[in-house]
Amino acid sequence: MIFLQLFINFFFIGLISIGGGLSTIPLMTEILTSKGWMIQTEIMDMIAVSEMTPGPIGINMATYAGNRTAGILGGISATMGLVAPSIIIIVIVAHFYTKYRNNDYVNGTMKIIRPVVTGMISAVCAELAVLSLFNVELFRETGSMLKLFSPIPILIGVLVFIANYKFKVHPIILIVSSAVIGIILL
Amino acid sequence: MKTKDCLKLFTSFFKIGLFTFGGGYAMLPMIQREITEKHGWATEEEVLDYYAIGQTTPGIIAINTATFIGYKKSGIAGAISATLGMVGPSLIIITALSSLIIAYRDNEYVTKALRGIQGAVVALVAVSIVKMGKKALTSILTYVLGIVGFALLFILKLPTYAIVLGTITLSLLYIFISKRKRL
Repeated sequence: MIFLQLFINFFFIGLISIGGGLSTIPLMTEILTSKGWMIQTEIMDMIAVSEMTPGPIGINMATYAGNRTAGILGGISATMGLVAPSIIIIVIVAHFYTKYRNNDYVNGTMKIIRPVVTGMISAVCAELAVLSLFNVELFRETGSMLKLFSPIPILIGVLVFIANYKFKVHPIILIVSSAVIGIILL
Repeated sequence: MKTKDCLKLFTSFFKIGLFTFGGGYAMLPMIQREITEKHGWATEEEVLDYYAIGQTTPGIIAINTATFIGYKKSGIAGAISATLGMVGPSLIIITALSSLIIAYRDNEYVTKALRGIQGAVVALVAVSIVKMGKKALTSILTYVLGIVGFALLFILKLPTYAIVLGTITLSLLYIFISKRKRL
């Protein structure tokens, strides 16, 4: 039963991901590809759509992945699975929240887990970069260093990074412009 | 009365979900406007507290914060209403958009557009990583932890859950031991 599978797997993602939306990416990528539900390029489509539409990124990704795997009900199953652990855990934590807020174990663990999760997201980002910015197959065939790089995606990547980081240009504008550049130049 | 409260929680968080991009920190101003100023369901300090806790519990921060506010207002039914409201816009918009993309994935122009977007996606994720890094990487130890997290996944390809659970176990042990030493 695919809906139950989606629910259980996304429940697990919700349970293991600490530190917000993007921290779901490593486990989500791992599960989606190992189950054969999505391939890595589709994962990039998923992140793009999730960044450019309103709502929390993690929820958007779950809805997209569920939809891709099993249609509308799949999207709902995955999303409900992702939020279920939050509801259970918050309801418990709400009962002793002043104690929880000031707990040394909670605060200390957060200080340690945050950098590790940041490193893990970087690892996924590096994998996606290898896939989209470089052309390893063409390099193996031709042996030419120049063929290793995909110039247009690299250029788009650099421009988007600067525009978003330095000039705070909204992701919607950047994603739509990149799509247009892609249609014209690729 | 309770049904009415739950309905209000649902619509308020639906609005918040509809007007915030990126979730997490980006939605705080919108929550404060809806929850604190308009309905008076929680004070500004309470919202910040819930948000801080939402960062430390598993799951999506936006959802954790919404659940917390809903639960404080109307119990478990409130928690569920707030959460369903928050995910409502995503379910509708993403369902429509993903069906379109999946249907036209093989169209020449769509393929080129998506290929162009890939570079942008890597860049946007990289920007988020830099922002996360600024908060998370505060000492030599945290840099080492970041590199270890990267290497465990990128080079050793360990399962994600194993890295997370392993880190939590070790850090609890570390805190326990350093507390004992102090006694």
